[in-house]
Amino acid sequence: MEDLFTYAFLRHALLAATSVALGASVVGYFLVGRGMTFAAHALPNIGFAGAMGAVVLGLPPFWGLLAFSGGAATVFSFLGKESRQRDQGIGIVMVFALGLGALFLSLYRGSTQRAYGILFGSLLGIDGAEAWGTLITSVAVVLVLLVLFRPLLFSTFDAEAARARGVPVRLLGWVFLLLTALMVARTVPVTGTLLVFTLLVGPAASTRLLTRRSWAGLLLAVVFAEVEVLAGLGLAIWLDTIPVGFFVTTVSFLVYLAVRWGVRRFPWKH
Amino acid sequence: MEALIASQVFQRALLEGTIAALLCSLVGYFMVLRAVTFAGEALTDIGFAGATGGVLLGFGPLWGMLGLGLLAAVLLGNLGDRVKGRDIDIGMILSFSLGLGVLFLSLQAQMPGSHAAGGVKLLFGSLLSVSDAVLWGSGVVAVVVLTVLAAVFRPLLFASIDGATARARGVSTRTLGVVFLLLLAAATAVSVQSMGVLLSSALLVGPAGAAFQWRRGPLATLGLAVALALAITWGGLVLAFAGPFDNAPVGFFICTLSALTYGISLLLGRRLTRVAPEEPAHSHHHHAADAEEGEDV
Repeated sequence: MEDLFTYAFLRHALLAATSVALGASVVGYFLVGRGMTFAAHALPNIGFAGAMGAVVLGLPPFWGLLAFSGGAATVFSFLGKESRQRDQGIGIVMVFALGLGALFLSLYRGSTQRAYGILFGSLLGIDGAEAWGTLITSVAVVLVLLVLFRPLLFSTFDAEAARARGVPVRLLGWVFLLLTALMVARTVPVTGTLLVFTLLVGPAASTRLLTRRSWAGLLLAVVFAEVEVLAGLGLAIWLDTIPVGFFVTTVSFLVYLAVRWGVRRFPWKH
Repeated sequence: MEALIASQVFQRALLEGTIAALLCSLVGYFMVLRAVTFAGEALTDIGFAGATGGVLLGFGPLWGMLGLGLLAAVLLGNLGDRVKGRDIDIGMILSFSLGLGVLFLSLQAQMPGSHAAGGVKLLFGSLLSVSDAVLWGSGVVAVVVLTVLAAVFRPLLFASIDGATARARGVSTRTLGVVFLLLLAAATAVSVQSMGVLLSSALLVGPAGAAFQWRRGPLATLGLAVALALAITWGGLVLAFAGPFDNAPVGFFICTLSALTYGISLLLGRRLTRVAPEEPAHSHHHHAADAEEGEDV
């Protein structure tokens, strides 16, 4: 086991994986609490189009990801709370972005490997700069969210009362979604478009079943995320022909099922 | 234009696109009405695992998608009508099926004689390379879906517009909910074949969402959704074949037309029409559900 850590690519993978697990689970905790599961699914897909566009223009995918998911986050913050209207809006923005993604994909003349990297991630191919960048972004996003913790909680819990007390509810919602977009842009290159959703929603979903206490819940979500990602990475290294993403989603799903079953079987006050 | 219509590729794409547009707009109408857009989205992603799994096991993408999709529909249907927590359960199933899709795709790529482009094709569609088998499969599924939909149309509409009253009158809304999700799964399986996993929402959400903005009665809205879906699909195909941009994929045109149609309907629909009869009662119900939904963290 000691030998494994002497490989640079494994150190980078470990650093990137633990970093995105930290940032994504904290962002996801608020997303799930705000009932924005669909947005968590749409933002990475929208980011894909941006990443592909950037690749066509010869820019780093990160900037395309950030531009597209940030733009979509801004549109989402105007969609209101009524679930039918909001889900339609999210769906349409995603359809439009993915159409552009299909166009960029057809304009791109390079190898399909590049598109594959964006769709499915390349955790084991991350370089040092990217891994550290991921850590810095995650820590920054978490720190800003901790500063905004109380007003964000208040506006999630009771938007009317928060507005009456002078909390800028809409602005706060927008800032939160921009932070989500930033975290998504950092996570996509690591885990791939399709699996960001697992990191955002999985840990928060399990946490929700166990506790409604805000600080404890936040901490628990981070613990779940780290355990799931590290277990997934460990399994992928052990059985090295099967992709990390499969193990992370499977562990995340099994943890959720176990918690769901456990809470029903052994109910206690929470 | 004549050469275009005579072209085999165009004819097949037109036929397959028409079947997908018809099924998706009809089922999409109920999807939007019942506010289960996210469940529809999840079913297309479950199609990703179904298609890759079906290819891996050798019985083809359509049957794989139908198998897994119908199973997921029963599972989702039994989660119940409550809004609270439902999206999260759907999300966890979605997340797991994406993981399964990734596994199946990588196992497939490790088999001799396969190539990596298959995955991208599955995600972004291939309306221009529709085979006879795909056309036949879509046709059979379409006949079954349309027959079942015709059989349950009236109670399904009633239950979707006003679930509480329907239940009080003895309509079994739970069974109808499951039947509807089965229809949704079958329709998405057909459209994923040609439109791809990621672009299928263009025909599911776009036309139905746009039609609702015009605030007409149920049948007029349904008819408008079907008409818009057909116009979007045919328009997209003609643009891709004869339009000014060479090599731009059909999916791009269909998605763009779908988003444009929705945007225009959103801007104009409210201004040009009066308030619809079916809207108030239903949206009131949903406000209550939303208030419940956001009650934690």
